[in-house]
Amino acid sequence: MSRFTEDEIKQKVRDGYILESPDEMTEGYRKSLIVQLQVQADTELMSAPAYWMAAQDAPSTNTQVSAVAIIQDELAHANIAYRILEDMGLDKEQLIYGREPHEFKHPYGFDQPLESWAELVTANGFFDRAGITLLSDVYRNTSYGPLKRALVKVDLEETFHLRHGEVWMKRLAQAGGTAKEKLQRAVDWMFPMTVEWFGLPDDMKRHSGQLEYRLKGLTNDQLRQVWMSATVPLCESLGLEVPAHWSDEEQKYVLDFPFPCEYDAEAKHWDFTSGQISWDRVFERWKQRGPMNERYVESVRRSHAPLGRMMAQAA
Amino acid sequence: MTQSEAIRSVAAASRRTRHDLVALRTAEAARRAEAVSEARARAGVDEAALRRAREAWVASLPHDTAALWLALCDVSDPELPISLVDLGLIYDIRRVDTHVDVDCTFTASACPCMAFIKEDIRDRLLEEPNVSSVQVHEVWDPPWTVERMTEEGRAVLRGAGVTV
Repeated sequence: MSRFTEDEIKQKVRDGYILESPDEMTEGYRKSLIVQLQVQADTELMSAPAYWMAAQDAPSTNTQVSAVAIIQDELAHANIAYRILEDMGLDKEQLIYGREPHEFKHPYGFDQPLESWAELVTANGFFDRAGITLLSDVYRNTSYGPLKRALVKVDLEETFHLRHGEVWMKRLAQAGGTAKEKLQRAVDWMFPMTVEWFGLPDDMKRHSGQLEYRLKGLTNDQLRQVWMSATVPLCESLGLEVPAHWSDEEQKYVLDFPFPCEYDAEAKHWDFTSGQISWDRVFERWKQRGPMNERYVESVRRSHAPLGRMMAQAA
Repeated sequence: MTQSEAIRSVAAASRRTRHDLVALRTAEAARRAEAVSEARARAGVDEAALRRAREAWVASLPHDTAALWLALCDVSDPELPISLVDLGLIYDIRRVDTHVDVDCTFTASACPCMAFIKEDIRDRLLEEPNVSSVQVHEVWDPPWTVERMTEEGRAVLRGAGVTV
């Protein structure tokens, strides 16, 4: 039972207080942190099968080593987040093996098939950039000490993933021809996908436990701006088209497409012509999960039960 | 600088200079160094002793390649805010007129960053005056061990939560 009331804890973390143990948490704080950590853990975990699908398209042994090293990092990062969840009384076994695939909380982007090296490196450039945008904000601002310390290493390792994405995007862009076309095609569906990743615009968000409990520092729209401030210049410098630009008038990045809009997952195509849709429609799409959801979840756990049974028989 | 000021300055720079990966990389390096310097403070690193050790090392550098060694002190590992020199990856630097040969190794033969590291060495040395060509040679003997790291390197790793 926490020593603090909800109001007291919100005031204390606003003044810079750092919690060191779950015993200090109020119910509200605990719930908000669990949601945040579940999204973090599930995202890291589900990136592994998504990246592995594309890593099989690596152009050489050394590049495959790089891709697999990224996958290893992601699984380790998932472990860190699940372990912190265990400290808070949740069961990692149940979280990974006891949930239905649609109950995982990773973003819709990791329900999509990554089908080529170009899509893998664009995912490293865009999705990992989204991850580092969110997690470095958590690192800077979180009021939960154990998470802050764990994120130092995560943050450093993510830098290599970004570098991998950006360097390879540059190589493919400079190669021109079919290589650049494939890259542009990847950018076309992944850019809006990542913009949407950051969630509801600020003017629609009711209240955010994550901000009130100092579990993060920036709002969804601010984080979206941070992501675009790295991604738009990157793509422009590589001669790639993106549906967003810097506006001197508004002093921020603005989108050149109706946001949010319909997505055809089968064709990997955003419908910019039918206008804006409601966020309820987006949440519905997210809730139904994307085309690879079941396959990705099963691929990280398919041998768990059968092999467990074999071992038990042998014992 | 607030977040929005930072975004504006990057946007302005990108329109002025066709913003490239170097600017992004510099920002990333600053972010990494920030996280590690906080952690270094927590780990109780003796910064004055490190400075003295570094000054002694600089004084011991061979005359013709000293500037090149110092240049590689600017090149950071792709993950950790630690230079290739402090990591002990640079075995030798030789110079003939404007051509430079570098012998370097890696922490593991399955290092996922070998290509990036070699590119970074070449790019940085080509920025030096009187350097027109650079050849980087991979050397696997003697193999790298943690013993090859400088005290500075160890301090960074301890700050990053790695025990050495």
